[in-house]
Amino acid sequence: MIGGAKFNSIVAAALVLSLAMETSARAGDLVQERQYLRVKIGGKDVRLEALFVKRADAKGRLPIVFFNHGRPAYREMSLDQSLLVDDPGINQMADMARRGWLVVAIHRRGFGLSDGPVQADSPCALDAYMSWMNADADDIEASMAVVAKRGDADPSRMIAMGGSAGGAASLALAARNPSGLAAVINLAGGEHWAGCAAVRESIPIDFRNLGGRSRIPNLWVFAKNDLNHPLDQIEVMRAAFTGAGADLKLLLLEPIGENGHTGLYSIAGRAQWLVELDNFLRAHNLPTWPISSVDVVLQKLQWPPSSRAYVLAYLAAPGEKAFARTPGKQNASYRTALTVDDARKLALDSCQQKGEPCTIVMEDDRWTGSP
Amino acid sequence: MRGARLVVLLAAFACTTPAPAWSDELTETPVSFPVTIGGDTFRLEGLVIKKSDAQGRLPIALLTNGGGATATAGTGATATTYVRYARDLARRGWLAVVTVRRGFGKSEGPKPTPITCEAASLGAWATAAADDLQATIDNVSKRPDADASKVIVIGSEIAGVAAVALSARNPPGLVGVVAVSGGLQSESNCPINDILVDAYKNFGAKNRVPNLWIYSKSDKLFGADLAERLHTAFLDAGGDVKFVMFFGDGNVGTAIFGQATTAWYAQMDGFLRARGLPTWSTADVKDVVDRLKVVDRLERENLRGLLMQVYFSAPGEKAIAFSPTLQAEWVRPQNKVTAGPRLPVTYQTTSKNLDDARNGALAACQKVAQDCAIVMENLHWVGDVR
Repeated sequence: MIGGAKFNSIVAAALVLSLAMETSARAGDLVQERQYLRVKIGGKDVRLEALFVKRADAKGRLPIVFFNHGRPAYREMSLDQSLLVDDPGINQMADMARRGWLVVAIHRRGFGLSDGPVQADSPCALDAYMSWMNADADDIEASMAVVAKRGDADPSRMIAMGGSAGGAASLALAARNPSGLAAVINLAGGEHWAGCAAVRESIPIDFRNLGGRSRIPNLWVFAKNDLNHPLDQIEVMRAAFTGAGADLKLLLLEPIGENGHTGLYSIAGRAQWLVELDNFLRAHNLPTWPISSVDVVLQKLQWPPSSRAYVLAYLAAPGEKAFARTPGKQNASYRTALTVDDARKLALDSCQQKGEPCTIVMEDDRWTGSP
Repeated sequence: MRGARLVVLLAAFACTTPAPAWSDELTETPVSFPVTIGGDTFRLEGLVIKKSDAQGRLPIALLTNGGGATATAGTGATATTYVRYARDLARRGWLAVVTVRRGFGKSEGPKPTPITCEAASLGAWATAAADDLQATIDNVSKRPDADASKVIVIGSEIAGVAAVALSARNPPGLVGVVAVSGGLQSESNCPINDILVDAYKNFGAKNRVPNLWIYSKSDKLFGADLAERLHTAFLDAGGDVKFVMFFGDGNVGTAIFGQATTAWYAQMDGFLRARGLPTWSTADVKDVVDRLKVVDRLERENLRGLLMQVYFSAPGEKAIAFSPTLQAEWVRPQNKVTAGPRLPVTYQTTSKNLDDARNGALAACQKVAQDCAIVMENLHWVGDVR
């Protein structure tokens, strides 16, 4: 884990640098790259659409986070999934890229422009869901082999992160204990199949199986009002998984919106679990933003240590975000929005409600105020 | 046939009170394309279909006769054989063109010679077939209703190979190729696969136009192994292809084009949307749900999914019937289950004519409700403005 610690210091240096030098109003701090990955699955050639996101100022080899998407309610919608940089989903990737990761989002077979059709597709049966998870894991595993060869990728430090079926796919991947995979972040992923009663029986069997094979630390995040995964089902999954010996931290969030399954991706949802994700990453010596940044920002604000929690919450908060404050005072406000422009406006509005003039001093993780 | 169809359509429109924003009516014109290939002039049998109320220049979707495994098969093909596919493309916003290659149907020119198991023989056939397609595009491009900057070519079996061969020329304006069960065999049953793979390698080396290839795992003529080899050769050489191998839905063997049309249309529609080319959009599906005044989030989601899955990509003629009673009876299920309360629409697709489609959709609806009315004909809303 010396590697992890060393990396943290590199990110710290990078962040300090960006805090000192970034003055641009636009979020040009990330680079995105769309490309096809040519992979081999079961000996066959497969072309998968992929999006890479990383810090523009990143140097050398970065740890890799694989973003694994879910399934739409209907298979035909899978073709309309996009990996375009103007999708709202890009903000979740940006959150991780800003934390120092090389984000790799692939479209599995059948999704978007990737080859097809959807592989995780078989009639309802006791072993069907596990076969879906494994088919999905095949795509991620095959992509790992290709991404590992990139000059900016460090395949000795990888995590798999996924929502819904993408979380489930990450579990199946981790059960194979691929070399270099350091953690799984499962956002509301489990077995859910509308109208397939066999899933109720397969969940304990499959999660015992997955838990018995996986040697990789897991963080699971669920909201208590997940319409796909009621609380009792989450408990069955947890008990079977940990009972078989798996390493799991389960984070149960209070209800978010009408359906917590999708509510996790709302700004309110992300604000809750990103803090916990940071803690999880730090606990496992994996990169995230350096905690020393809190002191750097406090100093720039000329705020007392008692305001530490507020600054920490901002730094952990989801992007795009902006921080407004009244110069020389402790009046401040920050907001998250779809774009940094919107975040700036919202933060200024909120900050100025107390009748004091405000200026923006931070955008995402960049100090943009006067030095 | 065409006259009768037009009458049916007009009759259908006489029944709808509000003037439709655009009509489902199509203009179908048999054409004899005068083309010049290698200094000689030929007339090729063809058909051009577009929406009657289409304005300005339309992108061109070219279909050509396939449905056979060898160069000389499919002698019965005429432009009319492909009329239903052309109509489906016209409804998606294309200037749909069918061209019958030299030596088939009423087209002039020499009958194709059988392909022997020599590269030169296959090469000569592919050149001639691509010439026919290119010559047709050149001719159609001169039409005032054609937008030659956006052309797609669609073919099945041997016509799929012809389309891929054309895509290796990267002609200006060609923006996509859809090859369904693309492959060919030799009349003499000699082992041609190695030569075909080599040909695809050469196509891939030159190709820059995005291809979509669709195969069926259970195909006995162009089996999965051959399809994979063609795919690998094309990709290795630098070609741009999205490869889809049906194993569940659409896995009907060689006959995907005619027998699993909804499945390959759905793939084509996704391919077109991803490239900003005309077809129905997910917003169109949402519009229908909005017009039916479905407000519950779950009911909306289920209805949108159903329409996408079984209706929008499906071949015409098709229609949707709606019952306000059924909609009023809808009860929100406790959890998200597809086996929940029934949705307020019934539909029929792939019908011989619009009357059949309307009657089928209505009959299905009337089994459970009394207040059924047709709200969609093909991709066109005909219901009340609710």
